[in-house]
Amino acid sequence: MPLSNEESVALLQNARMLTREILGAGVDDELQGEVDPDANGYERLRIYLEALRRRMIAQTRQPGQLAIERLNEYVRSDEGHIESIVLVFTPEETEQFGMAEFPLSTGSGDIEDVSELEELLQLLQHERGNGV
Amino acid sequence: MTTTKMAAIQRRMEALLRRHAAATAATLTGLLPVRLTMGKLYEALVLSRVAEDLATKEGCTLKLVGGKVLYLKTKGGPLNRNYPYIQVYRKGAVIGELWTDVEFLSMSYCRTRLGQTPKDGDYHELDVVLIDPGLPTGIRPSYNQLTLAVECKATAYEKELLRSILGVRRELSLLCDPNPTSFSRWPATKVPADPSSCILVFSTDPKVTAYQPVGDFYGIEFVHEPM
Repeated sequence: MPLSNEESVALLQNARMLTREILGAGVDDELQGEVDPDANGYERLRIYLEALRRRMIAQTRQPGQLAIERLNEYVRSDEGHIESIVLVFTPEETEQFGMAEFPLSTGSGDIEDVSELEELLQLLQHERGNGV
Repeated sequence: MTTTKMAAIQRRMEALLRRHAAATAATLTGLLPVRLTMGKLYEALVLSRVAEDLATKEGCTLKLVGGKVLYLKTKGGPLNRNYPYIQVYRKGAVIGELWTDVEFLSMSYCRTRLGQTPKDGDYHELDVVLIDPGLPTGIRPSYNQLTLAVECKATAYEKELLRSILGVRRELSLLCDPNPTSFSRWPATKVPADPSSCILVFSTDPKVTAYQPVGDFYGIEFVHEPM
């Protein structure tokens, strides 16, 4: 059975409720702002989930990673782009932490969660392709 | 779509969002004190924002010099050319160098005791600076060799921080009528300061912008930049 307009609306309501509960009403308002209210149920669901996916990608990257991406975009080097950002310690801190420097750009690995959301979007797309 | 399938999708959505919310908090923990990590990550983020604005708003070209890795220090100091820095070009000519965690020599020191060994109150650390190009390694740039000073605060922006930046403004410049800066568009074309250095204060606290009327008088721009 294909994904109907009513089912899309039900899923969207569910997604909005979860977003409000877990990420806050402000996030839901922000995501909802990207949705065209005149679009059909499926399209509203798709756009909402897509906006949620983008937000999750941004949130699961640490500021250090975001900084490196932005610096790489605007700072060009003859020797190559900026690879990482490293925090250099004072001698006292080196003794305290047992290391002289620390990379600030270590990935969190949470991006995999977002790929699940992408799968979900594909699944919905597939359902829609079956008959809507 | 069957009811069972819809319920399964709803469960996946829920699991995903819950896992994501937990993971976001977890990314901030690690070997180092959170305050230290947050502060430096914020400095990196602000540096990237300054680089973007210099490129897109001021039309500069930026080039990393001396390596591929950018270093942020937990304690400021004099210029150290063993570390990479960012050269800033406009129309093919170098107009300055972007450094992090550098101390500058104050106006009060340079105008009264230059040549003597500077004492603790004679220099002040800034998170990000744009300074004249080609200054030798090992020195602290003086107040009139800075064109842009940036402070980053990933904390509540309390009034004591306002007083601190007003002190930095005083040790960089004297108050005067609006004076042309080295910039054609960003961050400002004129500031009420001589020498006409620009000061930007970035904070994660939205309240920082409440101090803008003070900043307008002294030539300081307060920017709310969330993390």
